[in-house]
Amino acid sequence: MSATMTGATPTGKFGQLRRVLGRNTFLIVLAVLILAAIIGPWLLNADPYTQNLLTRLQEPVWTEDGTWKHVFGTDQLGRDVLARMLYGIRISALIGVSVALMGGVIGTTLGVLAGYFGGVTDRIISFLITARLSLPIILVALAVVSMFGASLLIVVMVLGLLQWERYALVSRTMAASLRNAEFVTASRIQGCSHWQIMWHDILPNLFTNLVIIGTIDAAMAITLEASLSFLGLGVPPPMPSLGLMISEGKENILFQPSLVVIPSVMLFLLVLCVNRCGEYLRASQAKE
Amino acid sequence: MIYYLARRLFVSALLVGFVSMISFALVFASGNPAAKLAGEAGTAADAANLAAQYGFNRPVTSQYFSWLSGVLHGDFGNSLYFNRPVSELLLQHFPLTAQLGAMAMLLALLVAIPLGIAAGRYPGSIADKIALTLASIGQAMPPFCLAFLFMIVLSVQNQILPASGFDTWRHAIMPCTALAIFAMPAIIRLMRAEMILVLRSDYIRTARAMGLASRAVVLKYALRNALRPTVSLAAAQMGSLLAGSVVIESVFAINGAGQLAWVSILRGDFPTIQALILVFSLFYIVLTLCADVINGWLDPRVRAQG
Repeated sequence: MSATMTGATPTGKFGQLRRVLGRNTFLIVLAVLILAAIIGPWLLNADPYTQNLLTRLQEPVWTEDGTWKHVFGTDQLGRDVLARMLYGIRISALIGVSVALMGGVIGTTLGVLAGYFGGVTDRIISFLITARLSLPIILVALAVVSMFGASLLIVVMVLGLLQWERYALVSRTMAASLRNAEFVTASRIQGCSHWQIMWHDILPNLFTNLVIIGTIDAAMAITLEASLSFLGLGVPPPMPSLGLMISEGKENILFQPSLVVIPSVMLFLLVLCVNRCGEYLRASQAKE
Repeated sequence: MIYYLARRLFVSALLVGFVSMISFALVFASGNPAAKLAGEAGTAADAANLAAQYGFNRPVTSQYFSWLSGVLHGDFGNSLYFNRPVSELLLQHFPLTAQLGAMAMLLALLVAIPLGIAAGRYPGSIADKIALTLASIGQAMPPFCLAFLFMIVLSVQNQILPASGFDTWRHAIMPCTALAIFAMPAIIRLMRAEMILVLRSDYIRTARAMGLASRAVVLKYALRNALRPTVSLAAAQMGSLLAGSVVIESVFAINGAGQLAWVSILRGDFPTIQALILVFSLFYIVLTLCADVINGWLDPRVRAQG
């Protein structure tokens, strides 16, 4: 959006292309990143787990000692950084999507119930939301992961079970305002059950907003997973998670900062794109 | 106002009770803590002995209530690792984290509020663009990544700032800035949106129509109303900032409560973990309560809603 606002409006066929590209820059970058993560490892023919101590700590290609064989260099065990990064994006994306979906189901259910029924139900669920907000999410996640043992599944479960408050808050407010809308009253007069009304009348109206929150939540989940893995209680090594790569790279921060910089920048780019896509969605919804 | 205050206090007390239950229950979620303590080499007899020593063989509710009554007297039990009262550890480590959090929050507010005001007053201007770009970047940059980038540029490549510890003000610059940038985006966005909303309202138009200087309108009338939601947000942000310091403290090797939490979790020192989760939650609850009271005092409409 900002790209179209900055320059003078481009005209002509080429200009139109530029406008469309400019508007969707972040969506395109995100798509390229995901695509690279999916097909990249096959094209590269590099394995993120293969260690080679003879070629450990090689510099990336843009430095003097770099070679094209390992474009982003190798880590302290001689593993290819580019291959690990691409697999790391896969893991981040997997975690973002599954946590956002899981939190979405929990949060939306609670929020719609609270907003639709109001009264005691609303009080109880609102209390649950506040209680969840007051718990320090990262500490609780760390504690739980340490008890059950670090694995991808546990991280997804813990973050999904903890991160649902945004969906709940928004769907509660919206369901409460839709409860007495005319089309809901019409359904009620026709004899629809509460369940039918919530499912067929209220939920479809929440959908766009839920997707927007989903992008924020996915971005949060990606950041949280990276933080947990960085602290050694997320995705277990030798899995290539971006947070884990940063944590392993920090041992060599003096000699080869690129081991920390590359995964950090990738994490930033990924989260930035997801956030901006959500904002674009919000802006286009506001226009309607 | 008294009714409003009583209501909020009651809800907060309920919250504290609920949160204390959760932080207590976390330890039992994974099964038998005695077996964990005994370790992999421990026999069933060892586990039984430990269970008797720590009282794990009692019913969970009775354990909870004896823990809770201890907590109410300021006794969180003994740390399994340090063999010292947890309350001592808390007193030793918490001030550093609170100091870090407060400095970061202050920095965030000092930058975000003026920027948000400028952005909201002139949407589409350069100030607005700077504010929104900063908000986007801050939102996308995990604080520990930012911390490492700072460290690489300022400590590794140029020896300008020390990379670890928290002894002098020079040590505080990088961790505080990293945390502040983490807290800023939400404040900037909210301040900007509120400012735009308030400046459009009728009473501002009236004030302008009556000939008040633009500056006076913005600072005296608009700001007061636009700041109200920011108070709530800042309180909530402060709470998450304290918990977020777990990662930052580990990056900069700052020996605060976050670091204590992390090593306690790694060591399975559950009395300390329970206490820290409870204390971090308490901070959040008290901060949001304070914000609600301030808002109720500033704005009668809030009191009426209850």
